[in-house]
Amino acid sequence: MSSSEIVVLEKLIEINRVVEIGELAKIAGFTEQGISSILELLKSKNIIEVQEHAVTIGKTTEEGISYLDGLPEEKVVKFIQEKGGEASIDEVKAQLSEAIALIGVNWAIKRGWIKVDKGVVRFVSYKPLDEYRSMLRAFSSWKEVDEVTEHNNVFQELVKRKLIEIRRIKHRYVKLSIPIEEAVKLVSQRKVVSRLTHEHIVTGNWRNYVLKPFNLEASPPVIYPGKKHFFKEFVELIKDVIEDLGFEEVHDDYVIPELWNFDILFQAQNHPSRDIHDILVVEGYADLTPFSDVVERVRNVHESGGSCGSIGWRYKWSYEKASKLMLRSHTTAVTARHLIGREPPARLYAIARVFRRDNPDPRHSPEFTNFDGVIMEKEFNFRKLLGLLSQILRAIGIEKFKFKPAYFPFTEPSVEGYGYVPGYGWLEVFGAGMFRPEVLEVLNAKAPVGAWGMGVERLAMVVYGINDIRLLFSKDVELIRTFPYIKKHYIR
Amino acid sequence: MPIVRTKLDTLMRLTNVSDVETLKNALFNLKCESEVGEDGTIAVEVQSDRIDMFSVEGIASAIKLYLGLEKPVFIQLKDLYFKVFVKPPTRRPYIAVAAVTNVNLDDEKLKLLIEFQERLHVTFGRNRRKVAIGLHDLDKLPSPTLEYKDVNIDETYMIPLHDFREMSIRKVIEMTEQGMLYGSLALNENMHPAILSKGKVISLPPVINSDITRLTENTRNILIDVTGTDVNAVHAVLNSIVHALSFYGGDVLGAEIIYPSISEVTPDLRPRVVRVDLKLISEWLGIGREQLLQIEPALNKMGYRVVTMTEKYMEVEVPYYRNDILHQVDVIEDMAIGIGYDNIGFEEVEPRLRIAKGLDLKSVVSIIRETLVGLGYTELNTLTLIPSQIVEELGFRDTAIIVNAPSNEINTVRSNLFQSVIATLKSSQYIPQPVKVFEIGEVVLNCPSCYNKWKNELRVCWAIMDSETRFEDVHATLYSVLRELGLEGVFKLRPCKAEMFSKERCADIYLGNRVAGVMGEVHPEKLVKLGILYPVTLAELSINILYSLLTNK
Repeated sequence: MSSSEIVVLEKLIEINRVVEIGELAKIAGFTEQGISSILELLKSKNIIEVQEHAVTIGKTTEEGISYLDGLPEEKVVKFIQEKGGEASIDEVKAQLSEAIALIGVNWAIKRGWIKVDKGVVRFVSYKPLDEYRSMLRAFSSWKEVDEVTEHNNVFQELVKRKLIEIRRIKHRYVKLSIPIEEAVKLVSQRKVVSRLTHEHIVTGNWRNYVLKPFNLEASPPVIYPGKKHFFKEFVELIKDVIEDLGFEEVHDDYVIPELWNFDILFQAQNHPSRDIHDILVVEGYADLTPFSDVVERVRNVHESGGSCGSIGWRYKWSYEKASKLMLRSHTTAVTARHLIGREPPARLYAIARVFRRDNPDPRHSPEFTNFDGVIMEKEFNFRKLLGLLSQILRAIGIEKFKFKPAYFPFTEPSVEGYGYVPGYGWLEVFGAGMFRPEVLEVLNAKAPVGAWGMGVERLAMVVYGINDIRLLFSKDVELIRTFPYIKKHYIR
Repeated sequence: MPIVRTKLDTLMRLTNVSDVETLKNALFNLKCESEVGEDGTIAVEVQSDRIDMFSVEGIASAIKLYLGLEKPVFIQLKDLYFKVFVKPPTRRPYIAVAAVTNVNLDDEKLKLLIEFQERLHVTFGRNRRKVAIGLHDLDKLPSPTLEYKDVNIDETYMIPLHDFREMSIRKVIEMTEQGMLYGSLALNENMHPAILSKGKVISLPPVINSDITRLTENTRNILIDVTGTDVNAVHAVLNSIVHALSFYGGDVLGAEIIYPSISEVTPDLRPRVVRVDLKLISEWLGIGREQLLQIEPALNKMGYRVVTMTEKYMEVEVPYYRNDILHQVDVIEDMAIGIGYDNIGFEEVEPRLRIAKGLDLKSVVSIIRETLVGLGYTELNTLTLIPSQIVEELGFRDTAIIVNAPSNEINTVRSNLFQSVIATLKSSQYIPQPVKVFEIGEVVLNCPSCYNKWKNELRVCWAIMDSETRFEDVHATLYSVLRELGLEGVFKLRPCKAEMFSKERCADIYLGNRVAGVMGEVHPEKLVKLGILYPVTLAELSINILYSLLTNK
């Protein structure tokens, strides 16, 4: 027996009668909830019995309280008596309120106290309802209704008239199911402890106790470890893969001029992807004067193709449009910008948030993670790019893949990579290609550049079996707490 | 990207290919996703730069070429049949005109043609703003001599398409459905562009055609007018329509467009000759001499004709309907597609050893994560975009506002992590406590001296929510994190003044003489306002500042 079981048992012996649980809890110094589990233990050892009794409790309603100085029928009769034995209905109504008058007259008739004839009320007899009023007084607060009262006619009438409200509730009573002598013996036996303490060891007291056997059937309390977020772990995995290939991470601000997001990538200023409906705009303009050489190259290439053998977009390029601030919509804006001023060889990557003008729904998020890379090396070519992409795919666990011709404004040739994920099927994993000569001219790149970009969430969702992108950004801590670490290892 | 939908039977008939897989595979390699529906239709998602494939006929033609069922054919103008006198309208100065004979419309062809026209209008034509198209029954045209000019909207009359009443242009613009939709695009005070034939208005670009030249399912020969604000786009659209209609084998009639100072012929069907450097092909694609020798069939599959081949270069004719060829690399891509990406093969890149440049940011982040996880905190991954309401309620200013946010839930970029973490705690009040969380993420700070006005900063924030919280817990965590970074000796706490914290229950975290963060207990009034019913104590540190301290040491 645990020490708390012994405390309760001692109190039961002390009281030595059937006792209601709430009362016992108070005496033993537990909460009612706390004592319940202890009683369950005692019960399971057949030391006590717990019995349930349903009881009725009653309480005078507000209306009942207002009749403590006289029920409506009494008020009516008293008024008639004062009036000399008769009065008109209207007089009664005028004296008492209309509602009280109506109830009073009806009940007075029922009791045979008055007679009503052609609107005139005549006195017959009267017997004060003292018993009724003392009953109402007796139930001014919630109180148990004993059996006699419950069958009392007066009580029943008051309940019927909704002057007393009744409810059924359950009480639990505890009594010893073993003789009291036996209980005393149990208590005086050596105490059982469930927890071994420092003090027990130091004092040697543990020898005086029985150490309670562990309950192997009980469920443990649920606890959670501190935990890394599963999606961020997925990002780390990709970082490991790409850094093993010798790529270096680069960063930039979220708020950038359109110049970096579009213009340096040879996206015409009237291209639909630059539409206000697709990107998120921040008020104001960037100061592009520190980048005047890039700006001039951009202008030349856009307007007339520059000196790389292109015909360009053949329109009037706008400096103002290029200065407009926006939230970057892809991280090629970051990797491409970082190529400016670098000498080959260079291997750069970014894995960071990008923004689109989408409302969140299961398949869209206004913000997601782009994994983007560029490789600038002498003799780099499309064939090597396909090789690199297949290396990355295999390293993140995608064995089966295929390449499809695609269109991106800044690469030529362009390719989309599809990976086969068992249990899901073909998934578009990334877009890639060789930077166009126009882009190379803008970046002043001295060697061919291969580039790729992919949405990380989409792949993570398939790998983790999550079908709503919003769960990756969930504000529900419980979801992260309960997301098993093991899932992240499925991919490798 | 635009989607072209048609009956699978139609596409099979136009291509003479009866195997669905063959069609789908060809489309895949032509950059198109396709899906066959249960109702016997096929939906083809075409690339936005290939307007020649916005029509079913254009798609059929590309498939036949790709599968080698047809050799590239270069058509020529049969006749210069029209004369168009142009007084360039102020807001819509360019026009191109052509006709194609023997199209012999029927119900289905008419429907496909109208859908094609609409696709061009909506996407490439920017809802008719940049380019608009008029299609007419050539046989109903009063005269092949046309005028294109601004006309007075009160003095000029026409019968709008599908109507029978003649009305003023003003009335067309103000009263008809099309007029209300597009009437303002080219209107210049009381003048509006119109195309006239024998003095009669046959079209009111970009609004509506006249009923007198209306197309029907019995139309045999089709006149096309294209007007717009960008001369290249106008020509490209005309060519894409001519390409689709000439699929049925009729003749193409051209027009002489006479501007005040120059004149030109439309449609311009002359193939552009592009010189492609052989060395560039093999360098760009990484293919050897052997594959170079097979380049001509690959190019034919994509519609090109090789006209010259030397040791150093080749010259190819680009079909007139391709307006997406800006540079020889565009031709090289088509070669790669013609060869097949699978046939190009892979060449793996060598891993390159990275030279360590001392402590990097990633390592600092990793130390902080390990420490916080070890202390029992759960990591969050939240959006950077947050509702401005939270920012205001916590008393912060100077956040970047999204001008065109689609909803108030995501109209601001967070300027600290408290904003995201508190929003998370708000929705995690009813789970087992204590709730201990942290996030490492970017915030965006106002930076008047930066070229772009707003700069990112990487931060970490940790927080505890419980039925009661103690400042000591968050403080102990701070000490622990700084100890792991070897910075515990240089930090001091000083009273802080942030509005979100209770008075005298918060601190600025100084590292040396720089404020690197702040910690404290959220003011109960703020909690109640946000709907949080448990005490919250939290701290935030700038990882960028930590990093600069660590690397300058």
